[in-house]
Amino acid sequence: MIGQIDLFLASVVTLAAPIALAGLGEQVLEKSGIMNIGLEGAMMMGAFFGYIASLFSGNVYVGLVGAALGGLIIAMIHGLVTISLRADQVVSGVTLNILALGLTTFGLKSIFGVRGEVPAMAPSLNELRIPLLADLPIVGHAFFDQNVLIYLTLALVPLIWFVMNKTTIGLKVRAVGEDPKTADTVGISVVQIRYACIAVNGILAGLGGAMLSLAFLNYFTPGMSAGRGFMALAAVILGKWSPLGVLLASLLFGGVDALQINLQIVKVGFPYPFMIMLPYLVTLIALALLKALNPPKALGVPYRRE
Amino acid sequence: MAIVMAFIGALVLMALAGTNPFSGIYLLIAGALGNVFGLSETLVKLTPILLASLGCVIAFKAKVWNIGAEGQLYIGALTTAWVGTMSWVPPGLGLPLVIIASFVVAGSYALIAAVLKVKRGVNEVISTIMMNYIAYWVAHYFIHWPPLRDPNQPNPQTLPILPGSSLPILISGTRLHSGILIAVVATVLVYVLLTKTKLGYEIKITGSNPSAATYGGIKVWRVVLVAMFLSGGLAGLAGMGEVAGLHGYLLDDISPSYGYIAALVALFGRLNVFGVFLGALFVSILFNGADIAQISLYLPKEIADVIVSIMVLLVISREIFLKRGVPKR
Amino acid sequence: MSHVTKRFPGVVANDQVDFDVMAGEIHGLLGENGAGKTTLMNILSGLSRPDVGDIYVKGQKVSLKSPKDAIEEGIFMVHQHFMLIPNLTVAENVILGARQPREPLLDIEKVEKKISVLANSYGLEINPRARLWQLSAGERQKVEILKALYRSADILILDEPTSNLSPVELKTLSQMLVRMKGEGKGIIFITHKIYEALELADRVTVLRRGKVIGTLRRDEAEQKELVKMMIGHEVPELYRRELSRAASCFQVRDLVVGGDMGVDAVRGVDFEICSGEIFGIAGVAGNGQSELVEAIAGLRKVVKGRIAFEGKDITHYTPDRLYAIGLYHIPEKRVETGIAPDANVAENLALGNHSSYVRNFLLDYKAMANGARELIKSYGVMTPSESSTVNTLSGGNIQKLIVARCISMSPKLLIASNPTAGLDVSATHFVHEKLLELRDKRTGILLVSSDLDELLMLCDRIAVMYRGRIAGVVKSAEAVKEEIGEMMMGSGGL
Repeated sequence: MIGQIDLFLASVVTLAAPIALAGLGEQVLEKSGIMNIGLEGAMMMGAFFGYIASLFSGNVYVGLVGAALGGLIIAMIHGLVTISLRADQVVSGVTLNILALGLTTFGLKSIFGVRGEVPAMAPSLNELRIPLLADLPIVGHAFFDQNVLIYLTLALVPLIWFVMNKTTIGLKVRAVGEDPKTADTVGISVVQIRYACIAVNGILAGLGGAMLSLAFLNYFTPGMSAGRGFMALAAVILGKWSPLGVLLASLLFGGVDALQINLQIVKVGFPYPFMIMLPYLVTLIALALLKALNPPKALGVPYRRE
Repeated sequence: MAIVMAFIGALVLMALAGTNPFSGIYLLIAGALGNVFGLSETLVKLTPILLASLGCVIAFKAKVWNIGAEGQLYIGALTTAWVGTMSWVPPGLGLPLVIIASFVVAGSYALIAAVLKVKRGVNEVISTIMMNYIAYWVAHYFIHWPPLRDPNQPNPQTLPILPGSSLPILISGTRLHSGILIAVVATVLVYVLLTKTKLGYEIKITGSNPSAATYGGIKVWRVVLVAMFLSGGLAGLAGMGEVAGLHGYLLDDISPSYGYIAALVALFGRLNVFGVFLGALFVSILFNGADIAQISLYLPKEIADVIVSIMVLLVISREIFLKRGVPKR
Repeated sequence: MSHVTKRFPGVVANDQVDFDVMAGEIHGLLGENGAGKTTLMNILSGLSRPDVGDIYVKGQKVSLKSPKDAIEEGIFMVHQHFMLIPNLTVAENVILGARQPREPLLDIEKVEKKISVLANSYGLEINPRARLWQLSAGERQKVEILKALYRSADILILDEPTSNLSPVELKTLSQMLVRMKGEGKGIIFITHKIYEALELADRVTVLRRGKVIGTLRRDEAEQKELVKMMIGHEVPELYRRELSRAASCFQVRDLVVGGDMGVDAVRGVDFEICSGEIFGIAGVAGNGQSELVEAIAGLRKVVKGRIAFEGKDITHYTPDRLYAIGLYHIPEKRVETGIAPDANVAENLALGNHSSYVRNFLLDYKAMANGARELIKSYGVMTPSESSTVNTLSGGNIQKLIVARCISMSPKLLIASNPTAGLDVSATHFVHEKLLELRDKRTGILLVSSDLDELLMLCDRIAVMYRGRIAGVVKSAEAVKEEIGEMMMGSGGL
């Protein structure tokens, strides 16, 4: 029985990780006042480029770099359009999602043919087992027998908290997100800070996507991210813009995902579409129950220096 | 200008994909317009895209970001599959019933997200997108399971729509059904709504500045709810067209992301009805051409998605350039 | 003392302006709204660049490309609308953007101690851990000045420093300024109030329409002459006729209204307004006036109490119902609340009244445009046409639009919240004229303003609000300014 909980918990963490990674990147960005609705697209690009890079290089770590770049591309376009050109952030994000879906599907089909032949397997991102700690009951497998990206996710939570609250850079980011005009008068470059945050956002989202195509599966399928980018957005809201909150919210979504997979295996009475629906439904209900508290004041508003 | 740049991007992509770029462009356009069949196929695609785009325009004008057109389309399609197969309905009433039902049910589905926004402050982008996935899987269920699944067909699909509830074909030998007429009528109606009615005025003010709208006595919550309902209803009609007119039954993936494309078309058309009509037409041509190109040139049809997205990005960025320099309009 | 001279001439939007400040001096920059004072100082503080002209600090020519450059030269500007972030603490606000030892690490506790020490050395009492939104206007101004001191500023620019202060806080400020003057700092302050300039400044420079009219030393300057310099002509005075007292038509009883930060902003307010009376509410901004107005106008929820108009209980009425019974509102934040920027002038003029243009289920846009054209003419709104988009209009014209909209509906009761803020003299005069006209037609008016002179001129009676309650009501004919000032600070009155 304990073994079952052990493995279940491990799967929760694994499933939560892509959402958490992208969510942490989004949280950083939103603290500076910009939201990236195109997070889903960034994850997809990360998944695709990670797959391609690791496939053609034979090295999964090259793949990770490729994934980061893929996410970065989307994020930078979003940044260009929303920061420098001051277009509406929602519109840009939605458009980028479709662009990413189109580009990645196009890319996949170009390489592997249009008729949907099964693509080749890429090298996989395996678990890195931490000795001793991995043998702890219940939490051992969940937290200490996972792949590198998941360790990164867990490490990022305290790291981001530290940077946000205990460094001058973190203060500048928070100031820019609350009141960019004031921050500008004090000599902070709103543009620089926001671009930096978007870069972080893109890289983390890309890595989150990499987990899908390099760890969960070993190849890329069109539309692979299946709404996880949006769940990451929800996680930021539910987590009240704190890194720990984002992690916890992601664990919730991961938990529902793990639950629905297990329910399908066990073949409980409900047909599988209702199982697959669960994570989306839970996201919706969670958002409805919890009113959004304390978003950064300038979130979503483009900044123009008069 | 944006079109040129997007096409250059497309050419590059096509070259990368190993296809002759020029035959690609040629087929994209000629395939769609060259002959009667091509033209009719373009109009076939225009029907759902136009309807859903009109819906998006209504919502976006009120700054309600309804990205749920895809889900609302599926709900409309599902409703059609249900109501259109009810044998006890007298034949004359079948079609009107299907039209009204799909509009109302899809509109109500959208209303859920609207209520969540107004009452609980839930971000409508996330909620409508979540509802897209939910709607897709609900439809999936009914496609694969009784009571709607057609037991006579090997592929999963729903029971065929009764003749009294179907949209008749306009030109024999083509797939063009009268749904296109509904789309055109809808275009006119939406134009009148937005530019000549009190509701249109209230939508415009709400979208421009909700605080001023409240101050001006407009009940913003009501505007949001009505806009979403209409928006969802139109998307539902798009779904109805596909089921009752094009295919005759509901099947998986009946929509190749029409709902999301509709959002792009609304933005690309700068939220005015005429622009959206042209945009929908352009996109239908493009998508039809892309389908053809995929078959003959093995060019992945997603190139169309890419072209449209790039164009939208350029359009929204260009607006800022225009606004900056010119103090008067 | 003049061994330090800071001078800078010629700018196009400011027309060939020469201006200088000496160390150990307080120099007042006087002019009416729109004269170019803030523009000039924005250049000095690095927020904008001059088209023509140079800036010299301590005899050296400098190029200020951003506020950061200005700060490095020792120039710091305290803006009229404080540049402070409400959700951050005092310490965080003070150090924002300033170099820290051991960057990028931030030891916030050390900083807080340093700030306490600095504040105390100037006689300022401030809690470095307090969040900005908890502080009053006077305290926030202290934080702004602390920012300047923290960065060892030599030149301090204050934009309209007294617009948010009560008389007592004004005294504290002038004491602080004198002290800083004694340390050899140069202080420039911008104002449109003549008495302020005369009280605080050693020298006064008057700007009018972007040009320097003259610079006078305090002992040379005289009120009347300064007015002439500021405006270029004499201003006709407005007279308030004596009207017979009419019946009370509008009552507020025990009103409690919630504020934004969880604390009640209005805590039990009673008053009445008679038709044909202008009833003023004075008080330092932030004492509940805005929330009171919003509650009456149907834009904010009332927690407890009653509002009645002509016998009807209108406590929870929404704006559309208020318009139906003749109660109109000129909002405080004219752009944020009063207009839809993407709509055109005609559409904005029709706002609130748009239902009346419906014929056969359709909106009669032609009639709307005609109505708009008439209003534009009679109220002198400067716009190319009634179909121009509203966001191309200047602030003054936007206000005229809103005033036109409200007054043309022949209101029975009008609430005007800081209606002349930021308007130039002619626009202000226009608004005052219209308000008095309405009063003569027996409309009741509730006028909220932070300008005591305006209130004394226009109102029949004035109530003073302090911390969400009414501290006292006086008849303006009998009012004594100092008495009102004390009520604004919480002492005196009831």
